Amino acid sequence: MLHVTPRMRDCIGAGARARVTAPRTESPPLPERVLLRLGVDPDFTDAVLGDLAEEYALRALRDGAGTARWWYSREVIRSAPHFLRSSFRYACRYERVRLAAFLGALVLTALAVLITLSARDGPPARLAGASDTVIVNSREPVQLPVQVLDAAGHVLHITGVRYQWVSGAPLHMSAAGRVACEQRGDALVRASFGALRESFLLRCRPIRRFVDWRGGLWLAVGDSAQELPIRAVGVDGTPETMLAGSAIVRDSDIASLRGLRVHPKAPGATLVDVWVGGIVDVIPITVSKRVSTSDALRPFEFFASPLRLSSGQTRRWHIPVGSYFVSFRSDTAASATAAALTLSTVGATCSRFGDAYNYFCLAAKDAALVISAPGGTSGAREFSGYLAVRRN
Amino acid sequence: MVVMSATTLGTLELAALLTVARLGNDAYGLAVRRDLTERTGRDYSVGAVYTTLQRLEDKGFVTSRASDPLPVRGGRSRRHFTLTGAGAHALREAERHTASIWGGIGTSIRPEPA
Repeated sequence: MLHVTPRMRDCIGAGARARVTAPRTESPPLPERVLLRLGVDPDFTDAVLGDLAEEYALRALRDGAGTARWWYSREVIRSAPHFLRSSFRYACRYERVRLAAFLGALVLTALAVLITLSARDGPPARLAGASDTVIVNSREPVQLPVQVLDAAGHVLHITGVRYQWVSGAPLHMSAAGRVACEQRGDALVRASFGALRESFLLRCRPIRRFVDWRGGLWLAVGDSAQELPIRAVGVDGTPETMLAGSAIVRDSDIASLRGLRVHPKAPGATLVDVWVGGIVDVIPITVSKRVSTSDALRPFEFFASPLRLSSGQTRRWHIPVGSYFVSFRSDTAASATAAALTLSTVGATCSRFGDAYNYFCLAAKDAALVISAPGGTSGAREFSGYLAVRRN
Repeated sequence: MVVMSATTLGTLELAALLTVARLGNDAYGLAVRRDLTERTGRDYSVGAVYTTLQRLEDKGFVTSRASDPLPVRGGRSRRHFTLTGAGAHALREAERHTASIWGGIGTSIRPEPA
């Protein structure tokens, strides 16, 4: 006669779960928490977990925590079928259905993953390069980027694409697609893989160098984006505007790149690395925040103001100790010799930087920029201009 | 005619029941498992041992009780097992069956005494 034990209850219920508490000595590894969620009989789970914890503590002291954890994980996995057996045997109908559904979902998921992986790559269906036109700016040999795709558009990692010059400028190109552009020119190239064919226009635009950017790009927080000033020189010495490469901003907290447009984000300085044709250009980017006065300018802040002075009038702007870029422009009359506003300094040294309107200044203590309107004998006159002071 | 009844014990069930009988008051899962490992040379999982002890309890050959919670077990109790009268009877029957099976086997086959 089968002896009915207290464990063979009709329905334990979803709320009855074994206490899953961590051993006092060391934390149980993850497999326990994952596997033991499947157990329904709390007495069985409690007894097994207790034994595991007790032996784990002993092994941790005797053999070390690492060995104990390895043993613990292995025992949990080995005991998993017995948890499932206990669950199916002693749980109520609802619990069994739920557990069976969970196991079924697990098996179906595994099957789906296997089927997806095995059916992922189909046979070659077409060839595709970066676009119908390939621009090569490098003077060194480069690999043409045609790839083999299946019908679903997945890239098949297989070799064997063959390239052939069809027409246009002569090229140094191998059958495997290594091409060296030594001079400017366009050529029609055909790529083939078995019965698949694809033609594209190869535009050789080798560059020699980038135009040197002194000072880089200056932006103000809140302003709209500006185009990255990339200027390259071709091997023939003429400007080259057909460029293909990549650009990345080093600190995206200060500025971000979308295509070739730089978006200011926060005050600071960063660099943009531009790769074209195997040549790297580094463009400094400075983002400043506009403030209303010049007295307390901090690094990466700028002050700007339109100027309007009467004859003989002088205005003074105090600036803290530091280095600055100052832009000053006076609106003059048609004649270059006509009277105009002048810029002078007190306690600071400035030298022209770049063009006629920009200065690099070093300010000592109690320094000031002074704008003066010329005094005249022919009556009052208004002078206008613009002043911007940017602290580095 | 051989009657197959609830008294029929599997190999692990027999070994576990003997261990419970031998350990007496110290027969809880971990101790049973260690004793089984020492005597059989096989490493049984904790789950396998408890499944076997649970089957023995379902058959009425052992009873179990929970001890007080112990910190070394993460606040869980030990489950102690005790041989019942039915269990003792099952062991005697198993010994008799074994002796009957070994009867008539020559000394060349019989295992060396320990």
